[in-house]
Amino acid sequence: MNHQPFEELIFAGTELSLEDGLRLQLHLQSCEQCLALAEAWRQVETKISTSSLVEPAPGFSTRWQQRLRQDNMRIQRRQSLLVFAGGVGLALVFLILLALTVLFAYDSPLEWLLTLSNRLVVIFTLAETFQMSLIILQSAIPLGWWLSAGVAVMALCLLWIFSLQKLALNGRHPS
Amino acid sequence: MEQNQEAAWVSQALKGDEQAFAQLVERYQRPVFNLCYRMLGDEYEAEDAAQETFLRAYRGLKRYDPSRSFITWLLSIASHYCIDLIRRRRMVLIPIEALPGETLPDPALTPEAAVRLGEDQQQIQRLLATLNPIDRSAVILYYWYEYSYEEIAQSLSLTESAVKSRLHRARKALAGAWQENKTGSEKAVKRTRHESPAF
Ligand SMILES: [Zn+2]
Repeated sequence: MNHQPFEELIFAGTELSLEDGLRLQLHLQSCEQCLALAEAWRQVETKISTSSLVEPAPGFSTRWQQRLRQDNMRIQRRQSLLVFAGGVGLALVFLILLALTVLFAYDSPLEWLLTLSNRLVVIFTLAETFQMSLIILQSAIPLGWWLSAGVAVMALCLLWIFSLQKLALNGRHPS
Repeated sequence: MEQNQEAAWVSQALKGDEQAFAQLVERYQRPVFNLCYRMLGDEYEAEDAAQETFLRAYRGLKRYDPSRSFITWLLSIASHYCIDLIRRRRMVLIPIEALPGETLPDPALTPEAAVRLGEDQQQIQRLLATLNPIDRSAVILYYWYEYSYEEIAQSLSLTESAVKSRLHRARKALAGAWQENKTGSEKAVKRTRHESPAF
């Protein structure tokens, strides 16, 4: 016997039409297999529909607030790590730039030393100003801005290195 | 009145008021926890998932559309989170639809939790555990939250006809599991009756 159409009716989940209901009843009178299945589903459905919502252990919202605080701390730690990494990255770029400038631009050691001391003074002044503005801006600017600003600075630095190198090479090999 | 209160809490929370959001947590902890418990079958995992649901809701509050009900939004986050959790728990190698649903051991419960949840709830959990996570989620939303097919489809990102066929399949699987469970326990009763005592 094909039980498939009757299983469709048993598990339809909606009120059956009069005709379908009668058809199913008739089949169930002669089919033990479908009758057992229908009875099993009726019991499961009763069990589920009489089951109430399970509650969490008391103090759930207090525990949530604790979790939120922990999560806030985690985010803050990550932000400061990013700012630190950005700073280290910038410092490295400056060092590389300095090295490149020295390599390509000067011939005598004395000239090099003089310019170096001048450059250092400029760099330190810049760094100090940068640090001051960082302190002022740190609280006011969201993380997204920091990230995009960092990326922009990196890109500018790379462009600068590239152009410096080009210039220096051109200076060495005049056409 | 309640709706107004809820909208006020949401807009305060949007301005960063954690206390206002804690009120929403207080109000909806039960439906959210229940969904997680029904999905995961373990009280500790359910607590963790419910906490995570509220945390994600708080962080993503800007994406909440105030024209929809807040609890519907929460339950949708919770469903997706639990489905992902169950998927991650299993090996990635086997397609999820091919799996018949895991046979969970009795959920580990503390004595207080066992009293609170009762044998009946645990029996239901054993039945639900035989379903795959999406079918399970559809059954839970349909029977515990009285969602319509349309609402389930929206919450689980499915089509309505997919929801219907999933529910149909799930009902059949649940009835089958119930029958198996019954024959299993009848056999166990017969066995204990026929065994002679060892002393
Ligand atoms: Zn039949």
